[in-house]
Amino acid sequence: MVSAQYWRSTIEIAGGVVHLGIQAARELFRRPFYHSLIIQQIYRIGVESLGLVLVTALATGSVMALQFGYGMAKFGAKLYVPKVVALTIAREMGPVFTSLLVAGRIGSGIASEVASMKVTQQIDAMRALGTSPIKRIVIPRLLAALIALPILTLIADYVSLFGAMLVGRTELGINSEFYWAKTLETLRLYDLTTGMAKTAIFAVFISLAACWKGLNTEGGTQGVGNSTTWVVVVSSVFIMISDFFLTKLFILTVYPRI
Amino acid sequence: MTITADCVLELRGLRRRFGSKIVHEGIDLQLRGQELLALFGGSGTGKSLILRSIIGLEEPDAGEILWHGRTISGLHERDWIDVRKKIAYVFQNGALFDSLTVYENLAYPLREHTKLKEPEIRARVAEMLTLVDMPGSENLLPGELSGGMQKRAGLARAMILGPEILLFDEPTAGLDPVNTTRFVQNILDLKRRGLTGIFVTHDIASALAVADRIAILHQGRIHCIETVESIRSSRDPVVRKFLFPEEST
Repeated sequence: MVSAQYWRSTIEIAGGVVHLGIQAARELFRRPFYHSLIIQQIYRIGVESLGLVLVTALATGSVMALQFGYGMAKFGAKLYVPKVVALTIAREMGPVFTSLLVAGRIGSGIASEVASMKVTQQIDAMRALGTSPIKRIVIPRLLAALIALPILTLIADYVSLFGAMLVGRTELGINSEFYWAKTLETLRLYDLTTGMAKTAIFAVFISLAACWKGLNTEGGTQGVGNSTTWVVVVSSVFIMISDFFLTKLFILTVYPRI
Repeated sequence: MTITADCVLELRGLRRRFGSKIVHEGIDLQLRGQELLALFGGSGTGKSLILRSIIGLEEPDAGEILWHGRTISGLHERDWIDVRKKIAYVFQNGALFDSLTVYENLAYPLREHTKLKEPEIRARVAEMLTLVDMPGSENLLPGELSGGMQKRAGLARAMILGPEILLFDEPTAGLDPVNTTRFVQNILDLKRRGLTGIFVTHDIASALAVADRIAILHQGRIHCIETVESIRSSRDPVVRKFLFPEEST
């Protein structure tokens, strides 16, 4: 039985994140604009995550090709591996894995940084000096995640497909030209764009949840640690659950009916 | 309460509670121009909360805060910006931005609120650091500073826009006698330049050295506000308990 306390805290979290999102949207077009902070955050979220995303994407694509290859070979369907892998990567695995990695690496980083600033009164100092933490902290991280995560996903998709192609050639004996041709024949622009759209939604949630938790941290260094863990857990759960509903939505509205 | 002509800041009936705990039951206070007011009170009586309310970091449940007769309590966060350029807050631990150097910390308000060019900012930062006995420390990070230096850098940052009122939150807490003396000297220097401010502290000696008047917060209200001379000779048991605790031991 789920307790009332659980529902209260869930509503509080949802309300807090949505409220922060509304505040950020209101402040977005008001001066001053902190372009350099946005670029700095794009570097941290995008460029500094690239290595991790590339390795994970390469491994994911390779493993998927391997598993599908041996599984489908039993039914004489090995030649369908490029099609199945391409769709799975572009629509699901690329966006979800990249977002989970970013939630782990960047979500926790944002939460711990903002929470540390909160418990050492740096957020108060920012306000006391006549500046807005929403503009200086939340908006740069939100925009940077919104820009960097879809791009990271696109890169991850290509690297995964490349890894799958390599395994297809070396392990499954599928010719590379044939593999690419089937992949390109299968993928449509909407496969990539729906994946990127998912990551945009995940990016908004990860950055807002991390900033909200950081800005509401209490309890010193232990509070900082708790906030960091909280953001990773909540973001991961949000990504997995919302992915199902987003996929369902895209099936109903974007993907062609079978 | 009679409003004096030179009153720059006034608190009227400020009330604040946290859950069932009532912290302020009606705070009435006036700060005059070029006056340094020391605010005493036991731990947890809400001294810092008064300062945080004045600058809008906390919202009182009831009551008013007036700055030159204009109500500033309840302002929208955006409207606080103009007030915060004129009423500055010196945090207990300095609250310097730990990823920025001392120079960048001090330059921060100037970059945000003025159109000064970098050489002018540099000159202003150097001037403020000299004022707080920290010349040449521009390139240090807050983590490389002692507690006393962090507080003084925080004071320099609060002073850099030339505010009208300074709010000090326990500026000498945790400092050794040498650094306390140095900080008190900094405040006395500022006082000679016409400083107006409120000084929340437990440090009786420092307060008696720098303050013009002393207010005592007791049971959620301002128990008394007296000049340093009259408070020294006060027979009030609450006053004597706070200012001369050795008498009760």
